[in-house]
Amino acid sequence: MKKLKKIISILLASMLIIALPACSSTDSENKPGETQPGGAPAAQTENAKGRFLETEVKMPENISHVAGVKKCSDDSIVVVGTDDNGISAYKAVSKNQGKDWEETKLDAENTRHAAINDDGTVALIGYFTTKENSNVEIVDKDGKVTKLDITLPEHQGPSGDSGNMILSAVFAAGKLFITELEGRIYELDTKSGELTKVTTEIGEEVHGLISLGNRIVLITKNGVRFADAKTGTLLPEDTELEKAVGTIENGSDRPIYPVMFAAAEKEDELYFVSHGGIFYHKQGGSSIEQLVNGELVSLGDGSTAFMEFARFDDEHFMVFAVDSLGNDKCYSYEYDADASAVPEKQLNVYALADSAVLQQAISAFQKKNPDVFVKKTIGMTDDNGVTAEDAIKTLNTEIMAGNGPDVFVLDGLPADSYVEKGIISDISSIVEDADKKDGLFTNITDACKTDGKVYQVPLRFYFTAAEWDSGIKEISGGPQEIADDIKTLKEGNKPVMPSFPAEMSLYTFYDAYSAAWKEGNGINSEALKNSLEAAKTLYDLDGYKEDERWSYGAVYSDMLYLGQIIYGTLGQGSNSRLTGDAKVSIGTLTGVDDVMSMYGLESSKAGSFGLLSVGEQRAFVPVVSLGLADAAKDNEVAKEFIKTALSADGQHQMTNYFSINKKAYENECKNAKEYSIGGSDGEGRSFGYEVKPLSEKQKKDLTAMLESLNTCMWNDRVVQDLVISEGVKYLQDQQSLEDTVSAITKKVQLYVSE
Amino acid sequence: MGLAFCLPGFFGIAVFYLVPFLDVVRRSFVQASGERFCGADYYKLVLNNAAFQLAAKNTARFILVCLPLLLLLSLLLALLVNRLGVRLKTLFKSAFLLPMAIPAASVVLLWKLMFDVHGFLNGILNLFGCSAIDWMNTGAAFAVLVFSYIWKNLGYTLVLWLAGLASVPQDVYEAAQIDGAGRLVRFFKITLPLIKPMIFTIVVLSLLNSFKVFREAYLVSGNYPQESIYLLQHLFNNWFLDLSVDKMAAGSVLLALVIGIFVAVLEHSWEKDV
Repeated sequence: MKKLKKIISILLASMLIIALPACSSTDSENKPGETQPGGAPAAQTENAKGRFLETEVKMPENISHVAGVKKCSDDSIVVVGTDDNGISAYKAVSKNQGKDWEETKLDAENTRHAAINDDGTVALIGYFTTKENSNVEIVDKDGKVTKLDITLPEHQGPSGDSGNMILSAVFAAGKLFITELEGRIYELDTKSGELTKVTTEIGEEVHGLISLGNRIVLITKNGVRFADAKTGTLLPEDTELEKAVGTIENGSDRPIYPVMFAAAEKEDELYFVSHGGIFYHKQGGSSIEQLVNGELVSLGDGSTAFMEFARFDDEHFMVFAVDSLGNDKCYSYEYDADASAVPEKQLNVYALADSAVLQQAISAFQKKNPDVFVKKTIGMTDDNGVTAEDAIKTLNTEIMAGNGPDVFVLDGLPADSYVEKGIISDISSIVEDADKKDGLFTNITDACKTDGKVYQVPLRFYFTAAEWDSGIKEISGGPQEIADDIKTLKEGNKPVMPSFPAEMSLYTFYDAYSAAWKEGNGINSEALKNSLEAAKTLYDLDGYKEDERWSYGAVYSDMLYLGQIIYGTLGQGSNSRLTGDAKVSIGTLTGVDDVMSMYGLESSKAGSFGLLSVGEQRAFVPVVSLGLADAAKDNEVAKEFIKTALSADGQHQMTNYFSINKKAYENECKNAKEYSIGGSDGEGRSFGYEVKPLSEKQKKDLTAMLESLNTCMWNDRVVQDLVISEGVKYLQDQQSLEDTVSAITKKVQLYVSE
Repeated sequence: MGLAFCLPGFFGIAVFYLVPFLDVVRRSFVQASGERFCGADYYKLVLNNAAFQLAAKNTARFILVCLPLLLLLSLLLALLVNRLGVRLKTLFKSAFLLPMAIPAASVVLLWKLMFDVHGFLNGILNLFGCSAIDWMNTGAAFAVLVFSYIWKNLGYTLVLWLAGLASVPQDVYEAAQIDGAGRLVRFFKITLPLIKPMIFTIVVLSLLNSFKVFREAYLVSGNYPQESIYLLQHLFNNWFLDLSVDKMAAGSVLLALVIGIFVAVLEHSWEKDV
C-alpha cells in the first residue's frame, strides 16, 4: 500500500512537471491584429526560395486618368483614358506588357468609364443618361465613333432627385452589359442602342460588373455572385470565395473596387487581387491560395482601389490601381525563383489603431527594402473588439517580456511614460538628417521635444480653424473670445453655427485649446471651465435639439481611435454657410486638399478662415507619431523605417493631413488637381463649387499658417477621454458646469498623481 | 511520505505564486528600466503618492464597511433559513446563490439600468417626488459598490454559515433548552462558540472576495471612477497601463504585507480563543 502511494505521488509530481511547458506560449502563435509573412506555403522555411516581386509599370504618356483597361486574349493590354485636363481621350495598346505603349487619340466626348471588348471595340460612358443626352459612345477597332441613343428607366434618388446613370459596363462573351442606379442589369446592343433586361434571378440590386472571360462578376451590397455571360443565368454560390471577398463598396464615380478578378485557363478557376494580395481559387473549392502577400507590396495600402487585374501566365500578373492620391498606377508581379520566399529581415511596427498613413509608410518602406518584412501589429482592430486599455496592457506585457516592437506608433500610447522609462530612444539625429535633406516643419518637431530631445515625430498633423462670412468680425483667439464674437451674430431665428453634435464640438475645442489647460503636471480648471463654457454657448446658440444635429458625432471618437480618415470638419461645417444655415464654422483643417476646398467654397460665397489660438499658443494635432524602441532588434532597420517615413519619397503616397516634410508638402500643393464639389442639405438646398490648386499667394498664406503652429495639443488619450465623456454630459444638460469641471479636474489630478 | 504528497502542490504554488511574488519583491527595489537598485525609494514614493493614499483609504473603508455588514447580514439570514424545513432551506439557498451565477457583464448591464441618472432606481424615486441622484458620479457610488458586494456575496457566505450551523449538534441545544436557556442565550453560549472556527474561514474568504468587486466597478465606471470608489486595483491597473512596474511592485508588496499581517493576527487570536 505504501509503495502504491509512493508511485502515485511520484506520478502526480511528474505529470505537473510535464504539463507546465504546455502552459507556456510559443512564438509561433498567431495573435489578433498581427500579420504573418505570406505569399508562400506555411511550411516554407527561411531558406525557401521563390517569391513574386513587384515592379511599377510606366503608364501611357497621354493618359493620366484611366477610364478602362482590358487584357485581351492576345495578351495585349488596352488602356482608355483622358489627359491631364480630362478633355482629350486616348486609347493606348501595349503588346509587351506595358514596356511600350502605342497611343491614338479618340474623337469621343464621354470618358467617365470605358468598357473594352476583346476585339478592341470601346464603349465610352458619360454621366447621366437621358433621351436628350444619352452619353454613350461606341468606338470601333478602327476608331470610328458612334453615339448611341439609349434611355435608361426612371430612377428616383433618396432626396427626390431623378435621373439615371450607368454605374458600370463590361464586355463579356462579346456582349456589352451595363448596370444602373436601380441595380438592374441590361444587355446593350452596340449597334442599335437597344436595351434588353437580363434576368439573373439574383434577387438583389447589382451595383457593379466585372468581366471574367465568359462570366460576369455581379457586385451587390452583400458581396459577389457569378453569372454566365452567354445565358445570363446565375452560377452556383461559392461560399468560400464570397467569404474571402466580403462586401464590396465603391466610393468613386468610376467602377473601381477593393477587389478585382482575373480569369484562369480553366473556366472553374480564377485569380483575384485584394489588399491582402493576389490569390488563386478553384470555384466551389474549399481553399484559397495566396500567391502574393499584399503587405509586402503596394497592394496592402487599404486606400488603393483596383481597376483591372490581368493574368499572363501563372508567374506573371498585372494590376491597374488607383492609389490614395487618385493617381492611376500599374504594377507588374513576376515570380522570381531566386528570391527568398520570405524576406530575410523583419521589422516589428506596433500601432494601437491602423491608419492609411501608417500603411502608406509601410508600403513606401517595403518598396525601398524588399528584403525586409514589416510585421504590423495593431492593438485594436475592427474584428478583435479589444479596448485601448486591454491593447496597451498586452503591449506592455510584451515589452516587459523583451518582445516589444522595433518601432512604435505612439498615438494613444503612454508616450511620456515610455520616454521616462527608456522604452523609446532619442531620434533627434534622424529628424535633423531629414530636415537637412528635404526640410521638415521644425516648428512641429520642436514642439514634440522632451527635454530638448526628439523621442517621437509625427508623420502628419492638422489643426483647428474658424471660417466666417465676409463682412463680419474676424473669428479668432481664445474660447471665450470666439464664443462672445459668435454670440453677437445671432439675429432672430437665423442659424449661426452648423449643427455639430456634442462630441465633435468638444473634440474641436480639445484640439484647439487643450494645450492651454495644461498647468505643470495638472490641469488649469479655470482655463478648462472657460473652454467648456464657450463650447456650451456655441452648442446652444441655435437651439438645435439632439435629434436635429449631425448624426455621426457618437462614432467620432471611434473614428479617431480606429485611425479612419477624418475629413476636415471645418469644410463640412462651412458647407452650411453656402446653404444659409450658418455664418461661422469651426472645425479641423486636415490637409492641402481641405484648404483647397475652403478657398473653393469661399470663391462661391465670400468668407475668410484663420486658425484658433490662445494668446501665443497655436496648437496642432500630431498624427502617426513614430518612436524608436530602445530595445529594437535591428536598430539600423528601425531607423531606416523612420527615415523613409519622414522623407519626401516616403511621404509622397500619403494623402491625409499635412505632411511633416516640406518638400512633400510643396509637391502636394503642386500636384493637386482641380475638381468640383456639389451636394445638397437635408432640405434639398443644393450647393456646388470648383476646387482648384492653391495659387502662389494662397500657398504662401497656408505655409505661414503651418509654420506658425507652435504647440502640440494635450496629447494624452486618458485626459482626452475624460474631457469628452464628462463634457458631453454638460453640453447635453445632464450635468452642471461646476460638476463637470470638478469631475474632470479631480480625475485628471488623480491620473497625474498616479 | 507526507512530504512527497505535498511536493506537487507546493511546486505548483511555488511556480505560480511564490517565485513570481519574489520577483515582484525584487522589482520593488529596482528601476523598471535599467534594473538600477533604488532601495526603498519606490516604497517612499508609493506611500507619499496621493493616488495610492486615496485608493488605500477607499479600499480600507470599503472592507471595514462591507465585511461586518456581510458577516452580520449573512449570519442573520443563515439563522433564519436554518430554522426552515429542508425544501424551503434549499430554495432559499439557491435564491441567495443566484447572484453568484450571473456573469459580470450582465451585472454591469444591470448596474447601468438600475443606477443611471435616467435609470430604474431614479424612476422609482421620481414617483415619490424625490429628485434624481447621479448614483455613479456622486458619493452615492460608494453605497452602490457596497450594495453590489453584499448582494453578490450574501448567498455564498450564507451557505458557509449554514454549513457551520449544521455542524452544531442538536442534542446540545435540546439539553440547554431543558435547562431553561432562551434563544439568545443558546445563540451566544452554544451557537457562536461552536461555529467560531468557521468565522475565521468566512472572514478570510469574504476579505479576498471584496477585492473582486473591482471588476464591476471598472466595467461600469472605467479607469477613473467617482473618487469614493477608486480602489487599489484601479491604481494597479493604471500603473500597469503606464508601465510603472516599479511602483506597482512596491504597492503590491505593501498590500500583501497588510493582508498577511491581518490574516496572521486573525489566526493568532483565533488560536488563542479556541
